[in-house]
Amino acid sequence: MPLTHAIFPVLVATHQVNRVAALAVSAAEMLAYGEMYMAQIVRNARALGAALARRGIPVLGAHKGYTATQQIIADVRQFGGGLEVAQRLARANIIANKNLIPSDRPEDWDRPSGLRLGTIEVTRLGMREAEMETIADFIARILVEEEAPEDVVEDVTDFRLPYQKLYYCFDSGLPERD
Amino acid sequence: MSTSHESHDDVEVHDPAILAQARAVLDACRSPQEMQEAVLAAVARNGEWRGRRSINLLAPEAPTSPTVRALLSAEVGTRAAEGHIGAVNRWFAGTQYIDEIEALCVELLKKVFRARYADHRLVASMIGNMVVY
Repeated sequence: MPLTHAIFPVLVATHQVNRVAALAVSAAEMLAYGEMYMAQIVRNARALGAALARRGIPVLGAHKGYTATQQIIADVRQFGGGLEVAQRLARANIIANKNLIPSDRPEDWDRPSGLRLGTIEVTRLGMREAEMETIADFIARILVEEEAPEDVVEDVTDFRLPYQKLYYCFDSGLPERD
Repeated sequence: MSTSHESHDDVEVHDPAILAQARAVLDACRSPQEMQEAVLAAVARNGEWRGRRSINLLAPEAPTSPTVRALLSAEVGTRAAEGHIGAVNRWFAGTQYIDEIEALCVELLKKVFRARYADHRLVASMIGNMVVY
């Protein structure tokens, strides 16, 4: 089969079987938890988009509920652009990435106007819609209220430290309902 | 040694200041073991900051379960398994359990994606793109 031939021997020689085993185990986790996990990721992304917009941070796709996936894109031109905003948030232990948005040109890739945010990890740590409000608060304190990231980082850390268990897997099952 | 590095500066795409800092760290080490400790310390710093104290909102990242993380350092990762599943399809002997692992992976992927074809070796998106396009 041409597809299989393209994989081996054309592109992959000795592949790493530890990664194959890990992939197999992940697939079993997704058979058991994937549907609930993915649904919560999307609910969290929509909740985060709405929460940021309410706090004065423009998020693309409002007419579609901000997203149908794990990610939302904010337009952060008025806060200094994607690169500057991502670096400022990182000083407060909030990690996101700069992103091109439709009004940018391709050559703006290094200093684009957008900020991309995804909810995969926070969801797997057991967070739900209520926690997205808290995260939006932290981001708005830095961008809208122009608090120094150094004055926010301790609150971010205090919020994050209790969430250390990864859910939606056989190690710890589903997050407890609150 | 540092002069040979500097002569390559014009082709270096990485931030030269960070590479210089790494050279300074290694030069200050009294033994290769201390160099190893420098690497372990950097990994630990990342684990503490990104893994425990940060809200990670990077859309392409996905944290793996403890079981998956443990498997990534399993013994089987040091074995050569070139070829396809099945004794005559391999370049190397001693692969019967590797066949078992890989066959389980292929069949699990078919179940998860409700597909009739799956390949377990495309563990990087660039390779996946090249196969399909």
